[in-house]
Amino acid sequence: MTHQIIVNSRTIDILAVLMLMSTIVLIGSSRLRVCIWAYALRSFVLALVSGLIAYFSGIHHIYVATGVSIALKVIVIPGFLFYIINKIKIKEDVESFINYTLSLFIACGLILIAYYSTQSILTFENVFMRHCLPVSLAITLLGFFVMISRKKAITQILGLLAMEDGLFFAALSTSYGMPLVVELGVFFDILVSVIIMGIYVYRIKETFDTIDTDTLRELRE
Amino acid sequence: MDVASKIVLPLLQLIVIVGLAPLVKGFINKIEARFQNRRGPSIFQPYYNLIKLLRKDAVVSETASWIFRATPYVTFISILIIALLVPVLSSTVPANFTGDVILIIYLFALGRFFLALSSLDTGSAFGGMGGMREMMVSTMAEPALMLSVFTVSLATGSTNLGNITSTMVDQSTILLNPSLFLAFAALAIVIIAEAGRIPVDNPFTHLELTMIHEGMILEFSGRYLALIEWASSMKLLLLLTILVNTFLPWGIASDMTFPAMLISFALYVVKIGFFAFLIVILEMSFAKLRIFRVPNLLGTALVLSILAIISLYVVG
Repeated sequence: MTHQIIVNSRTIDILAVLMLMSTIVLIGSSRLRVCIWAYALRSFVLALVSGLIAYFSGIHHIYVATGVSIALKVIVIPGFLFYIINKIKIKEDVESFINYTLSLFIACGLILIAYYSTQSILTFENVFMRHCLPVSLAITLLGFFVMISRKKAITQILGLLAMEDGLFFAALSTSYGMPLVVELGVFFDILVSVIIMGIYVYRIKETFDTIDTDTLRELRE
Repeated sequence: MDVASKIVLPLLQLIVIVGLAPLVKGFINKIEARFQNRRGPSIFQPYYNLIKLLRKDAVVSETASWIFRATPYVTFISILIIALLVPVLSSTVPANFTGDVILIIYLFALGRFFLALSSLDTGSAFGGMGGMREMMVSTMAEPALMLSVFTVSLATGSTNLGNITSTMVDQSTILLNPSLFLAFAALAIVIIAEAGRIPVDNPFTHLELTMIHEGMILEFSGRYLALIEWASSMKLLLLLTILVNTFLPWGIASDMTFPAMLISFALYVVKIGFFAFLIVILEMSFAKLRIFRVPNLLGTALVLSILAIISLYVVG
């Protein structure tokens, strides 16, 4: 029985690390499409984790969150992002204020901070799923970092989505998810905000002929 | 370990590594050709090339010093020694007492160091360029290789590859460690870089803009070239063997009986074939990276390996 629990928690840990790796792809890749695929992969793994947690813990309402997150985050949102970048026909490169190799190492530092800062909590918590809390904190921080350092509006959307994934995963792994109503509300919020931001991206492109958010400074004059 | 196995095992291991290495290369080329709707050369073509090269005279540049002549032998022999330090068919390593995984990393570095030196030795511009590029790649690939191997060593409590393999076989739950998962990913990227496969280096091209390994060996000919080609194909096979037998060692022979060895050999061929196939798919689906994008990829490997070792240390 205990052996089974260890195997279960290790499986979830490995999936958590897989999510972390796909977030690192978001930082390290210079192609917009690769970043969106990485987001879809991370969402898929997150849905898998929530399905597994629902199965292991026997809490059935998590299955609903799993289903909604597969439909929304794996299919609808990446599809919508692909639709936008096809429609506005932008250059495929991700542009950043910091070069890729340096931002990879900053990301590495952020992940280390996440691991070290959650260590003191983990010693009091249960011994299972020890990678989940650091990974969820790390994904949130990385999403924040992407939002700050990238120039294009689309990558900033991806950063926001990464933050949301991290928070959802933190709630899921520490307390088996939030109440169903709250989760559905969050999903709906995310969908609406992505659509609104998508429309914004389109308008920015129409007005400035680029989606580089740096050019928005021109509004001051 | 009795006397017979002391002689049989090293011989067997050398025969497998030295003999099968060109076949792996031929296999990769053949599958790749098939994917591109070409018939492709026979999978034994690397052997024919080696025989042809061994028959030919070697032409050596007038400015070359002894380093140029010594390099093929140094490279080949350092790879041969590695072949004795890696568990191939049995979890017992023939040269168990002489060294561990740290020695393996340094032997790889020794061969590379001499190749880079000899590439500068002839005074050819291409050679020096290839050597510099190789050094640039290896400054980022080597720490990632070390850190990911050390992660495995920390998790299993040994730096000896034979012990690592037998621990992995005995305690199957060790493999479920997320840190090892990260180390595996880092090692996979490093192997691509070290073996000079496509996202980092293109083994088929002789264009000045793209070549790394081919640039270094441009001045070699005849038997020297044969030795270097053979050593590089052995290097690919050995790196794959390290990956396979540390992370997926199931079915490896723990004793020296004939049936155990036979099963172990069959599984070994299947596993290596599978990873060679993965390399083909990778090479089909990616273009070669621009040389200034390579640190980006290797930086990812480095970050993954740092995370592997730190998360193992913090979380356990």
